[in-house]
Amino acid sequence: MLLELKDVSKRLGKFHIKNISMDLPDGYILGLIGPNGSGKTSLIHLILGLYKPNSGDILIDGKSYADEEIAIRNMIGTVLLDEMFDDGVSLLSNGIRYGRYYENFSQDTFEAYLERFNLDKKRKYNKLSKGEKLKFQFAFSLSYNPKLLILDEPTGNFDPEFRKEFFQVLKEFIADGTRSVIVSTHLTEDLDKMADYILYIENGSTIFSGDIEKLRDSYRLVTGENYKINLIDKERIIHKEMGNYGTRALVTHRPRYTYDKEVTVAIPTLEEVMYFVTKREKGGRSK
Amino acid sequence: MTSQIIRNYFDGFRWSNFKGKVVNAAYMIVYFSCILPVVAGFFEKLEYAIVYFAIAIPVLHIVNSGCVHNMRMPKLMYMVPLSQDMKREYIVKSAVFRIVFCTFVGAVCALPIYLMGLCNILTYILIVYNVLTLALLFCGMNERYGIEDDGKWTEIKSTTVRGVVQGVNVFVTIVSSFLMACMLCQDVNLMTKEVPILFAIPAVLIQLPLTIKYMTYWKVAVDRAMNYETSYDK
Repeated sequence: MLLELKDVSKRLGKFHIKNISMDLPDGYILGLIGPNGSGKTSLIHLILGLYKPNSGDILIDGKSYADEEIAIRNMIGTVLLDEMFDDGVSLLSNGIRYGRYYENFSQDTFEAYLERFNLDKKRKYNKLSKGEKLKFQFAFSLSYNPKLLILDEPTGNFDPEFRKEFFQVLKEFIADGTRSVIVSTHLTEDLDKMADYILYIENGSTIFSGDIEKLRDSYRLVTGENYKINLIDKERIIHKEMGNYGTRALVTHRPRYTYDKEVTVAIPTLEEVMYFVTKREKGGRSK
Repeated sequence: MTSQIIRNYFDGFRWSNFKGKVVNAAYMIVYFSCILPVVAGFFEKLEYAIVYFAIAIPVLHIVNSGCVHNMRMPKLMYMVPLSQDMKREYIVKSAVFRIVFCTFVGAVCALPIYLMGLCNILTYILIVYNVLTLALLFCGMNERYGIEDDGKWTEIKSTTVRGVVQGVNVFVTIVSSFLMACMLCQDVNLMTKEVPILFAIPAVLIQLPLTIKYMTYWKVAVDRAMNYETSYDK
């Protein structure tokens, strides 16, 4: 198991990460989803060992930060929103400056990725756009051949062309089945196609943790006339929305559940699940 | 690691790093570069101006260095594979470099006063001592406080004491530095033995014990700087 979170809790001022557990096997992509302020970045900081949990364990490839920090850091690559590299220094110099701390850093690989991502190695870091800075971090992370890539909201700043490239690189990265990726995002469209596992958090608590198929099987999006929707057991309705031409509701689903013939039942996208669950959290259950 | 520490020190003096701290820095710059020299008549003679800049440049350098250099590593250094010992070494070396470099700048700036015969060696040493004290106070353990596990802003027991110790010491040091400059401009003969003794008294009786007390927080500050959580995040 490449990543194990066991009842991880952390207090950060008034905000709490509460008892988060999950496992990510080698060779898979985990989508870390949730609305803004749900605790995704804080959880990533915990996984990166930047925050120490108040309780619970975090194991990377069976190792803990307390015992084998250097080994763990050698196997983690990151793309974070923070601008961490040195301004006024060229991309190549930045890469060499920080790359030398990594056991497996390869300057050739680094330069190859810079070229692949259309980044001029002589350009100064502070002259890059936001998206280019993320591309640079991505290239740097790949250059020391990590086992686990952790990407915090990377795609929002990428142009459509590079988004395709980005997901292609991720596919190549996990292809040998020994490496994994964690992608944190509130833009779930890409994860629908890419992610194998989903950890959905809201207000620091787990809403869902498991493989994406299980998530899809757990919910249904039901559309129909309001009185028909009201016939569904209220406990099953996550949230419903009334429109001019009917009502839409996200409901919990089990294979044995049946639906009225006059309502439309669809498998929700990740975005729809997030939308309705967030609405429920904000407005109370099935208002 | 040493070369990276030196590079990071000079990289720190970027305008973007002064954002949010500009008010403090601007006040010091306006005061030292405009008000004080005019009031004290520093620009009436070339010698006075040299004396003024010999004192003011190191002070401004230290204040500005304190604005942009905290006792912590660059963010990325918390994520690269470094042992605890290497982290400690990086933090301590950075702090020592800041202190030594700031003192060196002070010593070089004050050298013309001595070479021009405006003060004796003891006065020169006292000027450099003042710069060293300021460097220790502003550039050594200048850290940012984060939050503890209980969710409150860090209030380690020493914080208030440490702030007072630092504040009083800074005040005494700056006042004694500029008083010395003012006396030079009033043609008070600093070549006599009495004047250095006049400054040695506050230096020894006030600055030194305060500085020693302040430096007792060194280990706490280094330990906190080794932790990303207490160094960066609110």
